[in-house]
Amino acid sequence: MENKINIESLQFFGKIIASVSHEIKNVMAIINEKTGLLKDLASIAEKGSPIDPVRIQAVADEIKLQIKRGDTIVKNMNNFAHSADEPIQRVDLREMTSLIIMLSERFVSQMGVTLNLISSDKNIIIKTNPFLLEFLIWDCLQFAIKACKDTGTVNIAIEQSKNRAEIKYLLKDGSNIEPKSSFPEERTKILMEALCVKLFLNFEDHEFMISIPENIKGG
Amino acid sequence: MAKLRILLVDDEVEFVSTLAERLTLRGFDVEWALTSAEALQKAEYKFFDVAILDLRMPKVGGLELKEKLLEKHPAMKFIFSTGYVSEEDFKIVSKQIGEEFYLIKPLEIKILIEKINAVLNPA
Repeated sequence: MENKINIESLQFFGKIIASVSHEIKNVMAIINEKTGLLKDLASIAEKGSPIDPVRIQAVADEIKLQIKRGDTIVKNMNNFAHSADEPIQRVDLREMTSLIIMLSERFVSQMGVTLNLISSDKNIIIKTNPFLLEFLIWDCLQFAIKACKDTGTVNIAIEQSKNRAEIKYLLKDGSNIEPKSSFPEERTKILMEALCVKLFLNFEDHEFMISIPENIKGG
Repeated sequence: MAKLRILLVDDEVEFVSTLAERLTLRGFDVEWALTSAEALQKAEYKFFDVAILDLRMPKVGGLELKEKLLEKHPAMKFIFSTGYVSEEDFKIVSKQIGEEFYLIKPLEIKILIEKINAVLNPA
């Protein structure tokens, strides 16, 4: 079981890194075009055509925005990488879920799905295995996104109840859960067991929930 | 001489709009679209000599869009671009469309123009 989860964890890590590297590639491609455009405009000016300083300023601002976007992507990737530092850590579930949503952005947009995070501003601190919990949140999200492919919206609500924290996946607008869905798959079950997480399925109302203990044993 | 008509399709607005501007500065007649649906609309009443398509786009990707555009305009030529760099991706795409019509982002505009000329005037 441990071997299986190790292999699947590596695959999860690889998928996230591949997705993030693609996002970084996109940012670089945009910066490449913007700097190329600046060179084009400079070349036109050299030939005697008037140069519009407002246009130059606008392109420079657009480059700055892309650098900021790239910086956010790299920070998120760094936070994700550090989640595997210690097996048990205290984490803010709201921040963690938000991170997984951001890291899934590429996949979400490819599937034509809209994601919304519904949460109060209050931190929800839990003691858990951060990397495995990120894997579980992502795994559930993949299922929700696939069920809402092309037309749907997934709302993710984070709540706190007695000694537990909850993440609700609310599938709206044309979600299509197969009646004989294989969810949760073996991988999901292994993760739930390792994290002492309970899963509540309510496919009739197009929703499901994971309930996470505030304190996992160990560490 | 009539300008070459180029259709650019990519879901990154800053990328596609800037590349369109750069190609326009080089004398091409360029239109751009963010989705395959938008591209098909643009191709409904206008012929494009070359379409430059992102391979991975939401809902309908570049390869599927190519087939749909060909139904309308059988003479249209295609170049594909992608941010993906894995060998697997490269193998799949090069098998389907040929290595010479496949560009990896970030694009070099000089090479892109060479490709445009190559697809229009195959050796």
